[in-house]
This record gives sequence, C-alpha cells and structure tokens, in this order.
Amino acid sequence: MMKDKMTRGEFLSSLAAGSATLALFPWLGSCTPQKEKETSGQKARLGIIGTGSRGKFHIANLLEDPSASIVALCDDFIPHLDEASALCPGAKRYTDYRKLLEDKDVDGVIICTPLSMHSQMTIDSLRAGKHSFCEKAMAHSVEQLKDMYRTWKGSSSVLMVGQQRLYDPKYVQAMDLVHSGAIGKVVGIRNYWYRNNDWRREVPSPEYERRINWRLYDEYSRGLMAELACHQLQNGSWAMGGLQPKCVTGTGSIMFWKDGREVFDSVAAIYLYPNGVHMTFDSIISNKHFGMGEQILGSEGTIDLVRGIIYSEAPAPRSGIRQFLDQIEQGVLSNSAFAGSSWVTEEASKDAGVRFAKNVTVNDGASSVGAAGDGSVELMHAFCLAVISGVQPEGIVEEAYWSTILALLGDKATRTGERIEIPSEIIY
Amino acid sequence: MEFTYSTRNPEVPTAYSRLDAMHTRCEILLPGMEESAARKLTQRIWDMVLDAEKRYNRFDGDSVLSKLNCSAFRQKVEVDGEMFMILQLCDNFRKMTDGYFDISAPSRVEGRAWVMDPAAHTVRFSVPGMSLDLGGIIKGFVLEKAIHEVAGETPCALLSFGGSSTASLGEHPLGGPWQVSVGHPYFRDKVAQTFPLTSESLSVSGRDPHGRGHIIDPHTGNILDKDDIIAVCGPSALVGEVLSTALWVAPHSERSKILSTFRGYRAWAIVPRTDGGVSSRKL
Repeated sequence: MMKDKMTRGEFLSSLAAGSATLALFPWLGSCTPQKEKETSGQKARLGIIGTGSRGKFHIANLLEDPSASIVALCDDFIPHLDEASALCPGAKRYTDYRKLLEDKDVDGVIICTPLSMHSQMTIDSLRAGKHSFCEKAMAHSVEQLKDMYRTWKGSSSVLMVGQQRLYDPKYVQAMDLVHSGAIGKVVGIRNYWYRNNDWRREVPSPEYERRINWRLYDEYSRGLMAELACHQLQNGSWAMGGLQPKCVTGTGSIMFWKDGREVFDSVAAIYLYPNGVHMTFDSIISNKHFGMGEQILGSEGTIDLVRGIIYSEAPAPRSGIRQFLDQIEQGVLSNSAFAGSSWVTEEASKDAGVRFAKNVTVNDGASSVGAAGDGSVELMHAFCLAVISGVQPEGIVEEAYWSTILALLGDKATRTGERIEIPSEIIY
Repeated sequence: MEFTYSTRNPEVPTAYSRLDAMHTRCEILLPGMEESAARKLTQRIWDMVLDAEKRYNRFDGDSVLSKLNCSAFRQKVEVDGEMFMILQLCDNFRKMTDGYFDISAPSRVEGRAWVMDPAAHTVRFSVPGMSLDLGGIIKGFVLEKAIHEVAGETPCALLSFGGSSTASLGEHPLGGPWQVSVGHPYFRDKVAQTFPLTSESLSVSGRDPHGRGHIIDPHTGNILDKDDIIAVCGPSALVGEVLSTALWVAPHSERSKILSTFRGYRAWAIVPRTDGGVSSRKL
C-alpha cells in the first residue's frame, strides 16, 4: 500500500521537475527520488499532540509509512488518548504537551489541536528544537501568526502546515494548464464549500461541549473561514502566479443552526486582486447539493479543480474532418479547414469538458477529517523526510502564512462588514 | 467517443469516429468500407490510442513514462522495446534538428542528460530533476501506426489528432487529393492556407495568438513567443510532427538547413495577420 503512495510522491516531484509551474510548487522538490534515497531506511521519531479525529487520521496514514515511527502521544482528553494508544501501543503517553517536547526520543511533532492552540504549541515546539507540523490554519489571530512565523524564521527546525492541496497532483496539472494559457487570461476564481450538517461532534457530557465542539466557539475557532476557506484560498495565488489579493469584503450569519454556536453557519467573502480579478468563497452548512467547488475562470476556458476537468469558452466548430463527411454525403468536393497548431488543450466540449487529470478522486468536501487521495498522505510523508533530513521544504511556510492571513482577514471582513486591506508582503 | 456510419451517399458509405484522448480528439474517416469492418478497424485504432495515452502520458502516475521519470536518476530503468525505440528515435531527431526537438526540454537541463544502453534496453538520467516529455511526438507516432493499420484494409482514409496532426491515405473518395486547410487563427471562417494531401501527412505547430505559448526552446529554456505557424507535409506523420515543432522552435536562419536533413518533406512558415490576411513562405 505504502509503495503506491510513495510512488505517487515521486510522481509529484517528477511532474514538478518537468513543469513550468515548478516555481509555484517549490516544496515538491523535497520529495524527489534523491531525497527518498538519502533518507532510505531511516525513521522520523514522531510525537502526536492532539489525538482527536484529525490526529488519528494522520496516525493511520503514518502507520503505513516506513519512514515514520510514532513514539509519543499527547492529549488531555483521555478517551482520545486511549484511542490513539490502541493504534500505537508502544508510544509513550503524555497529557501535557510541554512534557512531550522535553522527550529526547522525539524528533518531530504533529500538532492537531484546536486552532487557538496552534501558535503557542508550535512556537514552544520550535523553541524546543523539534521539527514541527501544525494543522492548518496556522493561527487564531494575525498577531499569533506573526509570532509563529517570526519564531520559525529564527529557528533551525523544519515547519510544515497541514494544507494537503500542496501535494495533490491535480492542482499541479491544473496550474500547468492555467499558466500555459489554456484558459486565456484568468478573470475570476470561485470557491465554495457546502455541507448539510451541524458541524458538531458527539459530547460525552455537557462540560465537554466547548472542548469537543471548539470549532463552534470564537474563543477557539475562526469558523468556516479558517477551517474550510483556508484550503481553497490558495487556488487564487497559484492561478494568479503568486500575486496576493489587496483587500477583502464579506458577510456572514448564523441563519440555520441556532444552537448556541458563535461562529457563522453561512459566509460569503470576496477578495480583490490588484489587477481587478475577484476571488470568491462562500459556504453554507445547511445545504449540500453543490458540495465543494473550486473553479478558475479564464477568458477562453474554465478549469474545475475538484473534478480535474477543463472546459472551453468557445466549443469547437464542426470539425473539418466532419465537414469531409458532409461533402461525401452530398457528393460535393471542396477544401476543409481544420488543421491548427497544437498549443492548447483543444476542442473541449461545451457540456462534457475534457478531463485533464487521471485517477481523480473527487472530494465532495463532506468529511471534516480528511479524504482519500487529497494529498494528506504525501504531505505527511514529506514531513517525515524533512524530519529525517532536517531540510525545510522550500516555500511551504510562506504558502501557509498567506492562506492563513487570507482566511483570518476574510473572517474579520465577514464579522465587521468592513473592507479589510491585505498587506502586499509577509509582515512579522 | 462516437461512431457514425453514414449511407446518405450510397455510392460512398462512410464511417466517422471521434475519440477524446491525449487532451484532444482523434477523428477517423473511413469512406467505402462495410460497416462492421469499419467498426472493428476503428476499435483497433481506439485501443492503440488509449494504450499510448496510458503508457506515455507523463501526467499519469501509473504510466510507463512517469515510472521512468520517477526512477531513472536513482537507477537504470529497463524499458520495453517500443519505449526504447521511441526514445532512440527522439535522440536521433534531437541530433538531426540540431537540438531543437528535445524531449527533455521541459526539465530545463543543459545538454543531453540521459543515457541509453541499447544492449540492456535501459535508460538512466545523469542529473537530478530530469524528466522526459513525449507530448511532442506521441500523437505522430500513434497516427503513423494507425495509418499503417488502416492501409491494410482500405485504399482511402483520413485520420486527425486535434487538427495539429493529420494523415491521409489515398485520395478523396470523390476524386483528387484531400484538400486540408489550416484555419486562420484570428478568424474562424477564414483559411490561412490549403494543402492537397495524397497519402501524405500534414503537421502544424505554433503558438495560440490569444494565449501564452508552452513550447520551450531547448537551448535557452525559455518559453517561446513567435507569431508564425509552421506547416510540414511529407510521407510520415511522426516525422512531420517532430519537424514542425523543431522548425518552429529554431531561429529563422536555421530552418532551411534543418529541413534539408529530412528528405521528402516540404515546409511553410505562415504568418497570419490580425486584418485577416496571411503571408506564407516556403522554406
């Protein structure tokens, strides 16, 4: 099983090596066959901080990865710690993450805790000299984000953030198409994420409500913008060749799940790029009909990122070779124009489109934990390689910084109704 | 995919088929064949196309080419006879075109950074980051195989891959050559130039005037931005596809010299204008 996953990682790096979009995906250089060879036979000794649903998702993947060894687990919610221990019976157990950070047998930590804890735990981990993987979004506030980035800049440890699209081949292929001009000039980016559930987890007793359902409360969460938009907002900067939006406006409301939650159950945000292009994100969690969608709109075509399909704005006219059929049927002889040069993904049908990525796993966005084939396995494997080698994958923290700040400022815009300016450079 | 058998002209019943593959469409016109024979022949060609797409698409992680790209820097990779032959052909074409046709161009690696062992049928990359891309030859290769398959069953046919590569067999069933035209890139209803084909191929290379190019100059690693279109006519669709790409990439001063190394091929540099006009120069 892992053999196939590793081959996919190597495939990603070879894809990037031959791709004009390599500059947009520099971190893929960290999973080359050469890196695999250099780290072959070695294991990253890992501690998992936060063993809830996402933590256990990573544990299940890491148990299949020969470059990973889970040596420590930490959670202050004992039922979750017990569940993780059952998966990794040899791993040491901690209820205080600071104690885990003192463990000399731990080379790298994976932080899967509520958003409000990400920054402090990651800062402490980096200061303890541990290579660190933190779930997205990076931080609960802009100030925390800056602290975290500043600490990483002053550290020699690796930092990676849980944004699995960074390692999903169909995004690399899609951006290769965008930047080869296959859809013309990029004129818009649309993202949406619809579910029909209350976003709640089962709570054993009422005192655990805020702890288990932390996503619903402002003290711990930035709601749909941090948990969902944060992934999709990367699409814009990739499609725009690294350009970031200059401002965001938005709105949000609690209009269906009126159960005491504090975060919106419906949001809409619009990001404006300096060249006038808009990127939208909207999410409703009381209707799932359209599922998850990510679309790059061009003057000559559209790319559906989720389904791996390209559509043409101008469907091909009746082809020349078909015109020959017409001639033969009518007994008329004439020339037929159909030849053309070979530069663009051609002849996309208006209705059906052309699939540009093979073996696409279409993720409907329904899962709050993770989906098969979404890049999570490759991301975690890349972290293991980085822990073993001590080499920071290029550009990955900056990528996470941008997606987090776009999510946080988008959240601010939806809460205040104000137009929020976005800094043009990373500030820390 | 689509298969149509038309008997509207009872003297020339004709099979037309279309298969979306390799990011474009493969179309086949088989005039004068009996329906079941045409259907079987079409299916064999579709299988050929889909097999080639499966084997040589570098965007498919399961393809033979992807596996080569993933592993050939670490170790010698043994490839099958067809793959080895294609790579040898590509290497010969690279030499014959002074390096302007180069399947390693997207890697932006200087010089020839792959070594082939003909005795062991192995390939090894000599630098990391190396990756081969057969997108510039594989449609021509498949078209070449397909036209040979068709020639065994019928005297006249036309096969096309997205318009950029076309192969003809025999003459038009109503008489005379197949009159195949290159459309004007700025005006859909205008013709840039017409080429009469009788058992010949036509291959066309160039940049979309409305978009950015994606063809890389192997000598500089830069994506090229030229306004002209190169059309090549000759006996082989495979050679035509290679040659049209190399001539388009090469500086104008080098084009005639490169063309002269390929006997039996004619080429034109076509410059479409935004006013609907066209200038064309035979190389």
